[in-house]
Amino acid sequence: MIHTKTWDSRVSVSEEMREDAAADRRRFLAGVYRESGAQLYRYALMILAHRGDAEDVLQQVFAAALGKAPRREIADPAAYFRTAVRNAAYSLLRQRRTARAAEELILEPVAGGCSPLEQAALEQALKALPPEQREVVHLHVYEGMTFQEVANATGESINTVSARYRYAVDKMRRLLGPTG
Amino acid sequence: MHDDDVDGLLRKYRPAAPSRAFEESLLQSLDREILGATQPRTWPWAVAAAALLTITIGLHAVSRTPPAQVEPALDARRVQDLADDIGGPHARAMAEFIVRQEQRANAEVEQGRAEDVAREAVNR
Repeated sequence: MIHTKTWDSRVSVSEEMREDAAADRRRFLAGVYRESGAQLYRYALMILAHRGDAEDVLQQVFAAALGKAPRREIADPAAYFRTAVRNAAYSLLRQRRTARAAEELILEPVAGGCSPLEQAALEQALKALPPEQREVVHLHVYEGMTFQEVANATGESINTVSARYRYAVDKMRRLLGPTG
Repeated sequence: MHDDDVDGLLRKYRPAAPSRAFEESLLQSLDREILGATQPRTWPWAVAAAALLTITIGLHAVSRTPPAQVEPALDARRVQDLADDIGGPHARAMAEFIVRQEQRANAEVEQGRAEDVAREAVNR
């Protein structure tokens, strides 16, 4: 018996494969978002200090990943997406040259005993930091990374990272002094 | 305030979470992107096919167009004679027109005769 494959059947098989691959990527990215979307958003938010910009960056990163990233090519999705978010965020800052002023809150309380006044003062102090210092504060304080891990994640030396953290804390201490 | 106080203050808060609306919008945009990527891309093929068809029809039409008939040169002496007879400022133009019409009529008569001869030869 001779098996022949018509053009139509080849096309439909090809389309099915493409649809399967696309659905697979969609599931993968939706999974990445469910698992670490909020964390990635918070990272972008701390670099940019602007909710709208953070949303734009995340949207851009996921759309780009959808276009080019088969699942098997991303060995460590958390690191891959963190780096992508970081690159997109700094790229946006370079395009803007000046950070967008935002009145909105970028923090939310996680413990008792918080006051709106205290939160406002902390937000003001954080927004006064350069993005690179806010980034180090975020990765060290909120993601629990050691300075070495922060250095690995950002591609900076451990000395640079620890210096940025020290400068950030010094500046925040000065700014928060009267209210603290 | 000491460094530890700053650290402690930071840990009472955390960066805000994305809004529910944004999450839904992001996931919907992923769906839209996927839908766009999986749509069969017919436009480039349709455009290419239309262009090919147009070129083919154009070439076919050009190849079927008979070569332009070469107008025989006007009989200069006849034109001159007629112009002299007509006289006036536009005599030469009128003479050329008349001679051209005469030559065309003669050519048609000659062609008719040739076709008759050929037809008779075939009949024999």
